[in-house]
Amino acid sequence: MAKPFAAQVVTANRLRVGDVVYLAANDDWVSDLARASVAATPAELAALEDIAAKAVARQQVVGVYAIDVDVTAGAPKPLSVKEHIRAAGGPTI
Amino acid sequence: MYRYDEFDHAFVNSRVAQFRDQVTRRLAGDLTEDQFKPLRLQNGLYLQLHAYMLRIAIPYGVLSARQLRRLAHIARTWDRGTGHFTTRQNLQLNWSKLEDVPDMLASLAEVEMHAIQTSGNCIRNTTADPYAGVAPDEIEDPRVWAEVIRQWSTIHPEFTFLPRKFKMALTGAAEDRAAIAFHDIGLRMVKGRGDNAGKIGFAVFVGGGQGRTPYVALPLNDFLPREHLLSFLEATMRVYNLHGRRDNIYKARIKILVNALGVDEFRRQVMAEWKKIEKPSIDLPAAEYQRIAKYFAPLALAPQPLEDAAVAARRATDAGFARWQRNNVMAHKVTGYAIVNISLKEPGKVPGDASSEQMEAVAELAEKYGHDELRVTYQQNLVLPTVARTDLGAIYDALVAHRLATGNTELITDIIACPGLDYCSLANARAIPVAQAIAERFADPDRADDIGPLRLNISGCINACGHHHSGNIGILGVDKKGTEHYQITLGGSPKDDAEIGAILGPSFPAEDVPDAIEKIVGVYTSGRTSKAETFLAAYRRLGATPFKEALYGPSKSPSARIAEKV
Ligand code: SF4
Repeated sequence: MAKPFAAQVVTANRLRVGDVVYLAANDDWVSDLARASVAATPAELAALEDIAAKAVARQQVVGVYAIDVDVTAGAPKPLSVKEHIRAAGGPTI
Repeated sequence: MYRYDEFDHAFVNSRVAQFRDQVTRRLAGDLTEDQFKPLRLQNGLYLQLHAYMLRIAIPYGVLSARQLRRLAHIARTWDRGTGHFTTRQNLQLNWSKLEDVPDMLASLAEVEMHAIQTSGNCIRNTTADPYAGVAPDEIEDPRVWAEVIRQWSTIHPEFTFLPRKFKMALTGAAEDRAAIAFHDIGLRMVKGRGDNAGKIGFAVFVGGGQGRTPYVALPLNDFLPREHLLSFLEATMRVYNLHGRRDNIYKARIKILVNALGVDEFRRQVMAEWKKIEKPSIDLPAAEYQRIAKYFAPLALAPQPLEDAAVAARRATDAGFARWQRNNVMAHKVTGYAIVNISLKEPGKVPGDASSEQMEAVAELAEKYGHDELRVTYQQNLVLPTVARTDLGAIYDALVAHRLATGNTELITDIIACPGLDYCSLANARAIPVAQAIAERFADPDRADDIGPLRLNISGCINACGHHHSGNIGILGVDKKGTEHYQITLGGSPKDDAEIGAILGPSFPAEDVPDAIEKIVGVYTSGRTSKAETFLAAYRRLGATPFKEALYGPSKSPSARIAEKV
């Protein structure tokens, strides 16, 4: 059986500065994961990745990829420890 | 120390200008990331978990006060006011902005520094004995040869795109303080015997390294006359460059080639290649050696009394000072002088981190008391290689004021830790918080002293930047079903008795690691023959079983295990 599609958001780093950003509404890139656009289906993810590719092409962001998130509590929360630390904006120490 | 000549200045400045142009073109869209990435990596710029990270080369761990001040300035101006000293004797800045990096590199170039070859499949910065030139057990100052290797390997056209990165280490002393057995090539200066009596040369070791497939380096050449160092290195690199596995990143290091061929066959091929090389075209002319050696001429120090009355009196009345002197101050080759280790391992702090203020404080000490000399150790600490023993009290007071006076060199709280998942995008697990928790558990200095010499190393993944394989206690972060777990190894050693630690058993979650270390230390302290028996010696005598039993319960006989399964 195919794995059910996990909710995902698209993340990257801003090219000029390097800070972590997430793709949000209106093609905006934000540092607050809670404001990120969530893809609930493969088609929605493809649409977000399309927008991200355009942002890469205009030198806005670099290193685009999608991460699995949990949306049961409303705002998306990363599933992996790595993305949790990344979303926190700095080290845990 | 070595000073750039006209060529060095012109080369480094031209690289800065090139990179400035490359960044401009990248930001303007004239270069894609695929085109730009190799260029930024060749200049030490990584994209890490949170931001860009700039890795600055500190050639063989040698710094002047002016250079350390400049690093402090760069960290404060363009980063967040902190630098991280690494196990490669380099400095990493974790919050660099791409748009600022050309200015950072230009600032570095002004003090004869750069970030070239701190990444990529090239010959990296050579690790050297941090006590080079001042150790009493030294045959010859290895910094001269470290500088020769630096000049030879910098943008060497044949070795800029090797199968994989390449790391060398060098010592001129009897005691290995550069972990030469865990490098691709390890060099130890030795006195010749028999036909070579009266000469100084190198014992050459090859194929050491940690990571996914750890190996202790094997002897390649027992005595290489020192004047042939470069042609022999060139021959060795050529064999590796030709036969190293470019098809598989996990098998591309020289250690895999050496162990696949067998060291005897590898040696045969190196010797055959060496024979073909026209040595005078590659080996360093004697005059050039003399020119470089002048930069490392010993200081003109007049021997002084070994003991200073004021220092002795302070030791008798100030336990903190006495501990610091006992653990961090080492014998110097000139009587009346000392080598001072400056700990970047105050329990609770990030191992290897120094703030801009701390860097400036250390630079000031080097200027005031240390003949403008500084070293970085692969244990992520700093060293003042030459101070007068009469100045020890004043130096200690200044270090205390900047929280740099922890007297824990090579004790359990002198933990080597990589950045781990707090910064590194390759990590499985965090290393720094685990190091902090263990250091705080053993923060009582009397207890750390009682435990005695103990190397504890932590890596956040199998790449082993925290050298966990060579820790007496090694801790490796692993991903266990999406959670951070830690595997413990015992019995590793980075020194002359180099050994790879053995895995003790199943991994632990982070919160259980300090207790596990406590139990391991408990087995040692209750089982040692006397305080003179170190942790490593006791482990080698006792074997792994009592340590395993302390962590996992009594080992069961095969029949008991069968009975359990029925
Ligand atoms: S050992 Fe792994 S986690 Fe640690 S710095 Fe190296 S690559 Fe990163």
